[in-house]
Amino acid sequence: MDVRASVDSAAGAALSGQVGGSPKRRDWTPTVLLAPAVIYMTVVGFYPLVYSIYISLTDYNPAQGQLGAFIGWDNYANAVSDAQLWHSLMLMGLFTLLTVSLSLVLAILLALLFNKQLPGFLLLRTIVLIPMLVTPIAVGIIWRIMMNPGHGMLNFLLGFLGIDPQPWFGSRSAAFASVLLVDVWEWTPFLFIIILAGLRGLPTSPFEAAAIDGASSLRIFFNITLPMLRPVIIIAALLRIIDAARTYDTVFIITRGGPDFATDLASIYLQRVNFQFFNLGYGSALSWIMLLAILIVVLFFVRWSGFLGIVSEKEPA
Amino acid sequence: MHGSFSSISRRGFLKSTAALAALSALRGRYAQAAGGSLNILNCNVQWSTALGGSVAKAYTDKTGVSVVGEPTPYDSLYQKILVELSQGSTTYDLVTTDELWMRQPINNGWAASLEDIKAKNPALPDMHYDNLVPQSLLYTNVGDKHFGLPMTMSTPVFIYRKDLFEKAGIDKVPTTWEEYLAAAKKLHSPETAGTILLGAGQDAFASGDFHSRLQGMTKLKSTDDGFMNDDNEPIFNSEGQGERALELMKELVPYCPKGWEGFDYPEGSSAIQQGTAAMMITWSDVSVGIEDGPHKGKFGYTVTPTDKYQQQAVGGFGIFINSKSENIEEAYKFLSWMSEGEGYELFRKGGESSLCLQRDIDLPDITQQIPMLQVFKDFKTHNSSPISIQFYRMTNGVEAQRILYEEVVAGVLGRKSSKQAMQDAEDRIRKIAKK
Repeated sequence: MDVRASVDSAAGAALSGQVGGSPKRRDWTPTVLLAPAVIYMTVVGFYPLVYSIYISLTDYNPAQGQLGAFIGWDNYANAVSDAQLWHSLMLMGLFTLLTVSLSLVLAILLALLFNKQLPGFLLLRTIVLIPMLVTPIAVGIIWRIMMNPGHGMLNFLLGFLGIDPQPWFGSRSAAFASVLLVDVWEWTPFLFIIILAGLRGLPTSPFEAAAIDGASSLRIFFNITLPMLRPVIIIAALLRIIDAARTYDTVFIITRGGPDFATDLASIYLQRVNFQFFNLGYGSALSWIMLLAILIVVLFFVRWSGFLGIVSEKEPA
Repeated sequence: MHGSFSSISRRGFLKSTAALAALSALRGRYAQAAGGSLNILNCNVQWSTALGGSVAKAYTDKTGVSVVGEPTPYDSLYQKILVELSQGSTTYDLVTTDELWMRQPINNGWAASLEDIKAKNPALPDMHYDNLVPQSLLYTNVGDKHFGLPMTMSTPVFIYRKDLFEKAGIDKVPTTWEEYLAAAKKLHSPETAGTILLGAGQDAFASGDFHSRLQGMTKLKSTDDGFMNDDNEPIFNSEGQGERALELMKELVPYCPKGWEGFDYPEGSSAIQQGTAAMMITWSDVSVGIEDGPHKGKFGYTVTPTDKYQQQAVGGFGIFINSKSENIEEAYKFLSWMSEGEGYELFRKGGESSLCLQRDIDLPDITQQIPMLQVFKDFKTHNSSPISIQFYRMTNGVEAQRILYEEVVAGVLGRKSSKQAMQDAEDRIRKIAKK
């Protein structure tokens, strides 16, 4: 018997509660150690999830003393004809697509730049990470003040360049662009740090070989750097897609979903139904629909990007 | 040695914790015996700073009862009220609220009736409602019962820059919407917008801009809001007045600053303060502090222009006793003390301008201290009748206000015709109206 086979045999015996062929009392230690985590997850994770499905089948609205009469699938049927929901979901999709794409491009460029060992770059790298560290609520408040049409810093700076003051959140297109700008500013550092780490981990030999062969920088980037970074980029993008689809704080603080629904993302509409109207039955149904929508987007991305292939790849022997 | 030290330390820690817990329990009992304490779910605006500060201190000095006012941002106050009270929480003995939300706690039994509390213990002191402006009591009264007290009384106010009026040669302050439009045209320039519409604010646009235009178009009683009748049927466009109010707003769009669709109360106040806009309609309680700065004294305040009838909505903030409170009688005593007037006077001294204590408003030099109060003085000179704020009788007034806001935005921006916007608003509000 080789070493691996003997280890497998010992493990099998331990799992079956037998050592050396003699029956032994069951070892409860793993169960006891795991129990708190399982109980905790059941209470704070699984139970609310199941309960929210039940709530979504009722007309629960504590603000109006409606304790939740069972109404079957009515909330889901109403959601299908809710134009505001579809508008908000479309907006969420567009917002996610644009913010993730822009952040990704900027993060790759920043990572390439900061991958060079130049004086002062260590400090600059730290500064670049700051937006990601600021509380989203604070980000929203700061940007709303900076974008104030009267005394905001952005219009003040534009004045120096001879550009007229801009209504940053004063028109549909401007408001959408403004919240996009803030989100890209806040979350590009997150992608940047992941991609930079990936870049640092790449082997140097392919780059050296390409340089010897006289390949241009652009060609090296598109034919070597990008393909080798692909797994890192895909994982970073997936994390960002999930996060961007749930964006709420900054957009709510800056525009409240306006003007005229231009930034009324699904998360903001959901907040309004759940915590302004307290229509928790309908709001729960909307939450499940939104979850389903995010899931579809994520599954599409996972399939399109070959994410499963990347995570299931085994380490070379 | 190390093990011994460690075990003593653990034991010591446990002993200390037990001692602290006992001390804490005794402290609570002592505090209760010494007069107890009141916990208020408070807002974070001007008067509420005084409520949790100078008012609380004055009451504690007088009675020994400690008063804690937990400041909550206005934006999240409504959510907090609903979350706490719908779950039967006893955390707060008293709850402050926008008058628009008042029917929610009353209709759901979350607010205790002051008469019922007094009936259970006749030894409790009386309330002094006569000290308060009668209209301010509207929102806390249902039938013959009082469910709390007003904290402030506010109204839509027409704010204008006197210096810009003078510069444009306007010597008569507009009293009709036609005059308002003419003034906006005359005042408008590349540097200064003639007027402002607060397009991004649900409350500002629906309760300020739209309501202030609607309120003079039909004759209303003081308990009418002009939006729903006694059967909770929408009536705001019964004679086409809603469409007309929308048209009045649309006429002003060319004279608004660029990006007015993104303006809420703060942006509006800021534009007037800096002189980048010359006129606006807003609510008196959200314009506190507008005189602070280099343009002090350049602002004029009066009642809003009108159409056929001189009527002004009157709203504000209120306070009620949580029916699940374990300190109901203590909370009642606090409200009784408030109704004597000293607490309200401290609001005024703390810088509040939306006053509801009658003797404060009657002070001869009050408009010198608080220029905004000219609006209430103008009630008499313009012969204005006070009327109610929109949807105040509905349990879900916030939802109705949101629907109205969405449709008014659609109408003013031209996404829908005025007629369609009002029809849609009526249909949608009818669907959510609770009988």
